[in-house]
Amino acid sequence: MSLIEFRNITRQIGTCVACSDVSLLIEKGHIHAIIGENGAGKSTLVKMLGGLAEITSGDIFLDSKKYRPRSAQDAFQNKIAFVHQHFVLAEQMTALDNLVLSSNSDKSALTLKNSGEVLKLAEIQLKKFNWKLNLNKRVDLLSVGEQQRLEILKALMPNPDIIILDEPTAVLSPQESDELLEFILQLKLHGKTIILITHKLGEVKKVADRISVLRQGKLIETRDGAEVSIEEMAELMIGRRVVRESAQSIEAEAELLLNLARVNLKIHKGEILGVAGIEGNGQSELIQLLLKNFKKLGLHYGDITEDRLKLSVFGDADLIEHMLLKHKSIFIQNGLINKAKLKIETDQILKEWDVRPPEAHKPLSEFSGGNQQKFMVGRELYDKPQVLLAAHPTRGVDLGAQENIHKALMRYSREGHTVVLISSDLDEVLFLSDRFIVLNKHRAYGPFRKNELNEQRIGLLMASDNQADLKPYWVGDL
Amino acid sequence: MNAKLISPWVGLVFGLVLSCGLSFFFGESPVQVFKILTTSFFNSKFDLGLTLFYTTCLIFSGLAFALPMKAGLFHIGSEGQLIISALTAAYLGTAIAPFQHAASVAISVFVIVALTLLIGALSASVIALFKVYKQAHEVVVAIMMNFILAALATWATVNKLQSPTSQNPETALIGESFQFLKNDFLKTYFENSPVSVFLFVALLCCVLLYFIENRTLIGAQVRAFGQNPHAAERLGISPKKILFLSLSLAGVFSAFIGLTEVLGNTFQYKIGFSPQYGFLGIAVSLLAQQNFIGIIGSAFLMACLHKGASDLDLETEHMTRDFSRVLQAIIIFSVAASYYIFNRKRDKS
Repeated sequence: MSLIEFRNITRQIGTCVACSDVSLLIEKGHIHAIIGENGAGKSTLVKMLGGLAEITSGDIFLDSKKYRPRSAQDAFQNKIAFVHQHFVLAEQMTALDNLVLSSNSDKSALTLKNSGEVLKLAEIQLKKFNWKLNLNKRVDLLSVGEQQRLEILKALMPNPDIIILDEPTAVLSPQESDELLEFILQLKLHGKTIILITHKLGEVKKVADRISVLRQGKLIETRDGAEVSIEEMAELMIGRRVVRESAQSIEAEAELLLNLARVNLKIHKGEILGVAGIEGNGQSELIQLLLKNFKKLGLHYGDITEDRLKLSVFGDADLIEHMLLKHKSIFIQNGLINKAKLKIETDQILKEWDVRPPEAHKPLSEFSGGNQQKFMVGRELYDKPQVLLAAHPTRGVDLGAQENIHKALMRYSREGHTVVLISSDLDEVLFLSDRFIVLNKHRAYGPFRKNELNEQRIGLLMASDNQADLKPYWVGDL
Repeated sequence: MNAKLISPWVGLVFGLVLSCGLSFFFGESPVQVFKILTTSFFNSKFDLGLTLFYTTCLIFSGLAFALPMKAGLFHIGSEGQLIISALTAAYLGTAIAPFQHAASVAISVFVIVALTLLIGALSASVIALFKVYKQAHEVVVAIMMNFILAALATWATVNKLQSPTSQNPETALIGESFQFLKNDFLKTYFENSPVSVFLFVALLCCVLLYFIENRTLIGAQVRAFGQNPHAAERLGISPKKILFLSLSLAGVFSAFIGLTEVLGNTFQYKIGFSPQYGFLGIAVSLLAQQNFIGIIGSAFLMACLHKGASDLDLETEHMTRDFSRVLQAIIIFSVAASYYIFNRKRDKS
């Protein structure tokens, strides 16, 4: 008996079809993974289940009963919890206040649940998770990783039956991701049904009972988790095979570009310097320090920011305007904007990076996350800066685009430019970097050459509290 | 997108219908009230001239609101700025006595205009100052500044600059040689109504701003800052620069209203000369969706309404001047509210 049934579900916004005729069964007590490229319609599909997006046609059945949610409240009442890809938190309030807010329904708007009670419940959940989170800290002072934890914790508070996780591990460290997957399995043991949306096929392989693949809004296939390999999944997802080859590491005896005295770090020309570490361990301070030094030395730099929506995307501005704002000196002639040139060059980036849809006059905020990121990378590399600061360059990006971005970064550094790669995805750091450092609690360790440490050792550096593990590698404080 | 474009017009129609309907309870015919509201602006050449004078002021105040809005600021301090700059112009017009020579008069006029605009810019910069250095919200500072500047102007008029020949609280007339707009061709054409060449200055400002917004970098930067200040700062756009620039320019436009009044209409500062142009400008700007060219049209529309509302007092039996203000307020409220109502719906879908 299936718990959730999607029957011929279509969602159409204007002429844009986000989901087209999707029919899908999700069994009770299963971990059901939905995978697909960016813009494939995964988020849209679960948003319709969560009452966050309107269904154009088709029906959803919940326990064989027709279910048509009109709001998140409806979904909540049907014991469906939604963990969003982007945080939905009141930034000015403490973590605990956010939990208190979310554990009150609209019907009792005039009464507030006792925060002590909520705190107790939350601490039980945290303990079960073995997670640490300062509940009395204001949300805007928490790191991205901590905010994600709070978001997941929030969804678990009302004890839902169905839990939708929209790319939950995108910002977590490998250890945290493993913990989360472990927890997801725990939830399953307690009879919960989990819908997991992710790009990380390894995770899917580890936990999913059933796997559905979406491509361009259509359901391609649903398979048993046990019988499908990672390579097959990748192929189903993007329709071709992804071959991952390791980069050739050059010996970094190259010229010095920049010396960060504070963390005792020399950055050379032509290298990719990786920065591994769980988010919130000094990454933002390092980014500020780097930007300050770039500016002080008058270096020509590119900047792929760590938080695309907050630091890179201007609400209503189209791609052309984003292009202009970054490369102002190229497109300003006699004090006026050269619109023709702007259009040509922007179109060029769209073509080169396969940004879909290739409409330069569309607001950037209306593109899917992956396409936004492809455009940002293309824009930052457009005028070949001396040094590129790339913070989480492939976050929320599908496999095909991820491969393109990786290749571009490598090509770019082999041309003699420098890349500082900051990423919470350890695979990415190890795959791309010539040398890397590890951040842990605002301290920097390293730098290490590629293959100098095994993954276990790096994991320890990232997460350990043990001074004996860390001391030999310490180079500076942020 | 479409809903966003039509929303202020729906608000306008709603407000008009509501206010006309309300007049029914005052024993007036809603049809008659509607007729007066919508037709009294072209009863005569003089009436049209008066409407164009209002249009001039409303274009300036619309710009004073729209420009900071592009930078993400809700600027409602125009009223105080226009009052203090009108007083400045009137004071300078009485204090400076040029020689009987064209060049001397021209320089004096230039000084008056420049200093008035400067005072406007400075009074608006106070808002930016507090915002940049104390993170104070611009609405709060602007509201307070409105009261402070109005009180300051009243005090100075009554205690220092009161016209000796008048019973009303107003300054003396500015020097004869500064009243050169008394007989300009527009005034003559419109049967000596308050309209003056400042109308063309206002139109020019709109065109200029439109050009700057769309064809220059600073225009793009102001808009970008308005949409995402964090991202703008990361791109190297200085918040200080944007805040001071947009607000002081808004102050300049407010000051132009003072000049329009003092150099183009009454040639003196009268307490309460402004029928709250500063606040009417919010509706003008919202109606035009902050489009600098669109502001010309919406300013004219609001001017017609303002003219009509003022005439209700004369043309109907029961409507008072105060009630006509209520009607205007209803219309402005509807327009402003529609902006938020429609946008909220759009976000939800």
